[in-house]
Amino acid sequence: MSGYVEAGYLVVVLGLGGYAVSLVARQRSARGRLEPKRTPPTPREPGAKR
Amino acid sequence: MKSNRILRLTGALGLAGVVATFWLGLFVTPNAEFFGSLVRLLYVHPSMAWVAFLAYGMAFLSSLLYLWPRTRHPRFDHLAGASAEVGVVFTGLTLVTGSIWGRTTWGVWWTWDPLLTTTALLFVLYLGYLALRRVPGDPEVVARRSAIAALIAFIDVPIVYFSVTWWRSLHQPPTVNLASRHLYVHGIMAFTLFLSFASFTLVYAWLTAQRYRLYALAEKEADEGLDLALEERRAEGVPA
Repeated sequence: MSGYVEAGYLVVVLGLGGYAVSLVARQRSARGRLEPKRTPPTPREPGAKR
Repeated sequence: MKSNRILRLTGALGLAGVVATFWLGLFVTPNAEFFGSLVRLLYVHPSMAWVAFLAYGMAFLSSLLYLWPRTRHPRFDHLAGASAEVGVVFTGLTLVTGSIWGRTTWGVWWTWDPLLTTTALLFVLYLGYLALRRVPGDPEVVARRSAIAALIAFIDVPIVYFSVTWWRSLHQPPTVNLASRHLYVHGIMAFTLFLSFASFTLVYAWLTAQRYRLYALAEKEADEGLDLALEERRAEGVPA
């Protein structure tokens, strides 16, 4: 087989694989940014200043 | 959670199909009489182009649904953006694998052939569409102008497909001719080709769903950011 065929397959694997990994990583980082905001606020002590 | 399971199954089936396609394409299918081993590129290049067309078709349909007042909803704008982005990735891969094919069969990496030129134009048009989506502005205005751009860009899709029949082209006619329902390959070669089409279509569905989720997360993040800013403003107004 010529190296061109393998190059064609490699380009497809790297292109789609790289894009898929980048999407999953971006999702994780977006979820990570959202998580801390969702933690419930700590209850105030009675009589504490606002 | 059911949608999560379906998405996982789609991804797993797509991946398994791509692995099987590569194995059949590289090690099982025979060499062609004229093209020799280069025919193996046939199992990746046309399916890349097919998925790009499918992705732009989905972006076109979603944009139409967004523009139609009765069906207007941000999810159609997100779907159009997600599908177009995946389409751009597949168009890029179509151009690169096509360029490898051109180098080995025509002796050049690139030529200003009608099919190649209109495909390159398609790539640039949708890159422009993605750039337009990033221009800041009111979300509704951005979504509307993006939807109009997606409708305009889609005009190039049938031009790409029919360019090999409309003009004299170096590129051979489509391997699967939809108009005449004629197939130019048979047996294990046809099976591998169709497996490739089906597998990459599943990969497209998985990638589009992931990108769509990212849009939804970004929207949620923007909403929460706005809520936080409003809370802070309210807190500023409260006397200590």
